[in-house]
Amino acid sequence: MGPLDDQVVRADALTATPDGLDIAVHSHWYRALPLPSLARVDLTVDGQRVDPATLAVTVNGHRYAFAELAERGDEYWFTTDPVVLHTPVATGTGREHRVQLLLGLSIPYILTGPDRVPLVAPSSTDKTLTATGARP
Amino acid sequence: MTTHTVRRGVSLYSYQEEFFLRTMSLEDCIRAAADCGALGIEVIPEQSIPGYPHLTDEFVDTWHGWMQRYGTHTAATDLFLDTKRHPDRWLTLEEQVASIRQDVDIAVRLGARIVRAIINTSPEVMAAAAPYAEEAGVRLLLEVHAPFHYEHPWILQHLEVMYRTGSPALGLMPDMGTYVRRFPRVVSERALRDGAKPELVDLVVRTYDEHGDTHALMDVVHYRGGGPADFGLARQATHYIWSEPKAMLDHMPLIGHVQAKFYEMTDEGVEYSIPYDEIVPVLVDGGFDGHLSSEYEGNRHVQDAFPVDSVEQVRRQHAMFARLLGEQDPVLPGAGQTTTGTGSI
Repeated sequence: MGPLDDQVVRADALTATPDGLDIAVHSHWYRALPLPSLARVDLTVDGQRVDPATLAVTVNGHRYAFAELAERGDEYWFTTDPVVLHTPVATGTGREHRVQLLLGLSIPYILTGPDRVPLVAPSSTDKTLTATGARP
Repeated sequence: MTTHTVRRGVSLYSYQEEFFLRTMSLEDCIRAAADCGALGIEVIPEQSIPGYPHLTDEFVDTWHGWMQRYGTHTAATDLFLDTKRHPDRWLTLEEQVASIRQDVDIAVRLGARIVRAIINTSPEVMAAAAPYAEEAGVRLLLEVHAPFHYEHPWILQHLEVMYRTGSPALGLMPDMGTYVRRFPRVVSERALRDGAKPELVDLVVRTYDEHGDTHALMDVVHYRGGGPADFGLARQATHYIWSEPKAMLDHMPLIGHVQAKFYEMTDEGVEYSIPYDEIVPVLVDGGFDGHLSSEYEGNRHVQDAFPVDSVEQVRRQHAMFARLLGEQDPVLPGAGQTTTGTGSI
């Protein structure tokens, strides 16, 4: 956990869409990471845990089911670009949501312990933000 | 000071805080380096170049345009080897070599003749990638990063390959984090802010500074009832090392680039932990003809409590280098804010 945690979900992160709440998420790691590095997304919105199996994720303009990211080791998530988590949480323009996110980034070149497990770098977010309307 | 062939440079890694927060663009980073007379630009493509590993022709043109505008040149690129890129398996030797070839291609497009090979690159991968790098006119330099040193088995295995193959494409890139003589106070002060116990912080710092047994510290911190901040600091103490900079002289023909790691340039214009006044003369005496390339890493230790000013920190390091290299026209003080992260609470 570090001070960059504050940058992971920013003030303008929430967007209301007809399909649910979109949450823009920035990386807290200093270099681009392959997509499977987005290993752990423990997301709770308004006290309700969001099952990762219900999430879709847009990275670099492509939309994937969360589980598909594990197969995209040749594609990178850049340091200054957000990914968008598409959740099924019902919302509308101007609605407030409490977003709690424990983001665990698996670092594929820093291996730890006798089992050579990639380091998981966590960040923690707990913010109440207002959803804006979908951009045209 | 005798004549020398040491050139000054900056790894744009140094400005990561400002780049990440978008208060500086990539062009701003290059301009900041040029402003302190550091004309060799080192870049981590994965950190600085949108779309990595696919660089557009437009980006490459823009990059070369910046080099021309600011009188800079691409000194080096840094590669990573994501051996666990796929969650269910390891990269094969062939895939690892392919990853390195891809990064060599990127270096060539950016005009770099040096590529930093990250410390986890195996000697076998280096040997297998060497012919491709040689063909491309690029040197693959293994970073000698703390806690590794020239007598460590991992480095010895690499040296064996370098000497046995005699490949001109293989060499070393010492990271000056291997010359941390005293514990960085930005790190110990951060631990205190994070709730570490003063007496345990003192124990860790004193043990390190006296070059005692830092590996036993983690146990002792447990015995003394330390918490996560104490334990983290004790572990950190095993990640820094002090060794004699003159050891570089034995390997100078292999050394093509130096990463000038630093944590804190003080108001007095010296690095708090790393004695550059002893290191720079070794490079000069050894006839080092590559870049001394700034790698500022203090931001992560002060960002919780202080504004980070990487530009000023790098400027101070280059004012010091210019002085130590006997440059006639030293880097003038800028108008930047003072940010040492210490002594100003």
